[in-house]
Amino acid sequence: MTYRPQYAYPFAPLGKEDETFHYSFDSTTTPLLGQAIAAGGQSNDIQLPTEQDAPFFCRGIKIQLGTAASNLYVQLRTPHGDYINVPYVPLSNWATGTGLAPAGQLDVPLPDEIECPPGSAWTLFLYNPTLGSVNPPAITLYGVKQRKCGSRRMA
Amino acid sequence: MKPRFQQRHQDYVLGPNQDSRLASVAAGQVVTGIELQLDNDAAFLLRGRAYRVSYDNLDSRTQVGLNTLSLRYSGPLRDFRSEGYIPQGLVMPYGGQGGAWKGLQRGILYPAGSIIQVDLVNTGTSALTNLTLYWRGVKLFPWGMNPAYTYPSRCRVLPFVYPISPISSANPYGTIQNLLTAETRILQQFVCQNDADFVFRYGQAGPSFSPFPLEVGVILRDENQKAFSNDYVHYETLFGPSLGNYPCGGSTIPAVGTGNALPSCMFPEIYVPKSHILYFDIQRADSGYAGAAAIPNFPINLVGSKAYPS
Repeated sequence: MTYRPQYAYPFAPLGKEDETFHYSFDSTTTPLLGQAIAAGGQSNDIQLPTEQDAPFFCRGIKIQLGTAASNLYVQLRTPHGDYINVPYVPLSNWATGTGLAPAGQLDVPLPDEIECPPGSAWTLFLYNPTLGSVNPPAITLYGVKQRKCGSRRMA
Repeated sequence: MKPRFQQRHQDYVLGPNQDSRLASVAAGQVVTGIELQLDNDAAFLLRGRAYRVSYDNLDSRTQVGLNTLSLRYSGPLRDFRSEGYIPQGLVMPYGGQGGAWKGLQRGILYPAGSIIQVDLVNTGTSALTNLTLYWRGVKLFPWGMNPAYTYPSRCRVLPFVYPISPISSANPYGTIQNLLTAETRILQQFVCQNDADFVFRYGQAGPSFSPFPLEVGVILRDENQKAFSNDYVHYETLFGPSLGNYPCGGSTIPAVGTGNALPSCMFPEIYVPKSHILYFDIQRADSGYAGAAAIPNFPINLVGSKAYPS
């Protein structure tokens, strides 16, 4: 079997609790992700906002184009302004999930979690190196929201 | 506690360059007494195995006969680790390529200069072309033999992806440009940025669209040009993902379960201090394939983390 050691993430500090959460961005939530990118073209500064209720700690990522691996190159900037790849890198060699898309895919774990303050935004940059137009992919960020203990409103 | 030995990532290759009989193993042929001479500089702890054969053509990109290899291999005392020939297709998926290495629970320790002996048989109906066996593990050095770069005592880490080539106006995406169908480039450089150290944990390589490569190998070297392998390691085995097809019964399937989420991790990680370099050699041998073309941009992503002192 294939095997990848799992990364150890810190426990929530005293008085806080982690809640599994993920953000998903595609053409239905982010209009720029619905516009095809022309051959050799770029689509830059696409904002991927997070919610304002609690900080989000991103621990995994998956960027997928429908049911196929995308041929686009990608660059991501964290809410703190750090680029996590320089320059654009091939999406298929970094953030495309593992497995067959129709049957579900594994996300790509980040070895070190990335903190996103409430209401902050990731920034996405895309480049199309192919000779034809390519549709932008959907982006999913996996992780936890960190809330104060007891702050979760009960149904 | 400091380990007794300094571990250093190592891939050993046993292919046609090491034993010419592996260039073509005919259907039904038994080949015995294949020997892999290990380096004399350090002991080797074997932790994983993989194997491959050459792709058949650009259209099907299939490793024909991969599931018809049976073999046995020895420990350091020529003590075989199986009673008979074991079908390797029952031991590991996809020949262990693309990060699907066949792990060994405790590993096998080979003293410096040991020999791994292999006997094998092709149980299929087609020849195995350029059969290559890979042995992944660590070399065990006394401390002080190699640079021992590691994390600062206090640091902040950031996941990061580097392209392998330096970025310039002529190469804005850091790819290996214009890789010809038959070409060898030695001592290419990866340069770490000067803002933080980089912890290299795994790579992913190859274009996801045409023109595709078939037989491309890479040798990674540290800043002293000391190699992490004894020969070229196919890029889908050294890095991944695995985009070819694999024989399965009477048909073929693509690899399922390899790729970015389950890459070919290296252990231990390769720590590159800021502004330091890694070297790599790359070799492409696709001129014998009909339709093979120069690849304008062959990407290799180096994935890991930046470590900032804090």
